[in-house]
Amino acid sequence: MLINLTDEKLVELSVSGESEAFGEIVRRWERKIFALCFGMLGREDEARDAAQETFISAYRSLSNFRGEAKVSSWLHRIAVNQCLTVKRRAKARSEEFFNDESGEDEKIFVAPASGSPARATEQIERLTLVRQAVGSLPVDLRQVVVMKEFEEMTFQEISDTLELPLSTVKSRLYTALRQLKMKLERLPMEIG
Amino acid sequence: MNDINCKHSTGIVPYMYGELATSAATEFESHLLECQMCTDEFAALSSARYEVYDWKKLEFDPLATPTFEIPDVEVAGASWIDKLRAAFSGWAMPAAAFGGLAIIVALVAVFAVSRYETNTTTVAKRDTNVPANENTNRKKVEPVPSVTTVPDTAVKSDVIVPERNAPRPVPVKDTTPHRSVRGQQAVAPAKVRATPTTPNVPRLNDFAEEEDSSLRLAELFEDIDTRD
Repeated sequence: MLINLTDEKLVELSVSGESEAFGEIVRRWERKIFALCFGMLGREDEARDAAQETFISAYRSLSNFRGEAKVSSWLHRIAVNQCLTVKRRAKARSEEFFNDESGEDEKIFVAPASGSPARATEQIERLTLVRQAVGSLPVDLRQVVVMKEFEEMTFQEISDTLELPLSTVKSRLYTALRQLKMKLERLPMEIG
Repeated sequence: MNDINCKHSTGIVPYMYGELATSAATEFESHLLECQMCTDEFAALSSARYEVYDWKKLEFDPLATPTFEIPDVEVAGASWIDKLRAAFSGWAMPAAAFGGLAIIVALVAVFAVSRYETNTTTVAKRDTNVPANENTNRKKVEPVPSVTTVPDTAVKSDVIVPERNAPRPVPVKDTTPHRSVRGQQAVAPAKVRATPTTPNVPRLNDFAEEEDSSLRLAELFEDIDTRD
């Protein structure tokens, strides 16, 4: 029965004490929020923590939810804030996975692609570079990329969630991909 | 929006993600064949996109979605009505309603019983207080002072409040103090004996009594007066 209800109705029920309703919200959004956190943070453990904190924070602030905004917008906003918090915390612990372009840790040497082990190593390093590149994007651009690629949302859905014009969403994604391309081209050269 | 000077470049991203309508997509494909700038841009953006897509496919897709548990935390800022509604959600609401109704019925019953008992007690008290309270109304009926205390002050008083444990007051019409009416002793006994049949006899309660011992006390007074 809960599965047929809208997100907004589920929130309403949750506020009135129907704990199962919030459980349905979590089930509905857990994969997408986890994907968003993973894309934003680049690490599974941090993404898991951020997603967990997102749902706890959302549950705590249920009564503050205003009907004017969509539940997806509300959850995404909380998730992005949680990701930024996790990232700040990680930085404070000097365990940041995404390093700044000026950092020493980013100098990863790409091994020549010869043979299967080398190819595997190259792939790992390439993935590391991609994580770094995505992580170095401005938050608003990174969020659009992650929502598009990890959450597999349409432009219209992203527009509704972020409450932005459709053209702005497309423009941000265009800009984000362009910056990524530049970063990915530059990084191996800098490293090498 | 885009960095290249082509009015069709806005279609690159939607086309890349398959979000152009069929007719628009066909039109954009035709444009790509003619526009080198858009073709180069499309290739660059697709390459960047592929990297992200590959990252997601290799590292994220194999991950199982973690189980998120919401600990028993309180909803901040929830109004008392929300908490009340939450507390009485589901089956608890009818149960609480039934319980509340039962309590109300019980209270009404207790109130009714106590009211009935109060009325009964009031009637009894009213009868008990008749000698003192209704003295002015019943001018001809006055209580006889207690046997144990026959002070001079009581003799002077018009209203004599019977003592708590004093014998039942007798509606004696003899209003004159005993000590001062020695000379009229012959009259008093006759009046005393006539009182038992008086309808205004004050009693502690409405129960009919078989025997009124105060009559004997009155007789005792009478007897004492006679001896004096």
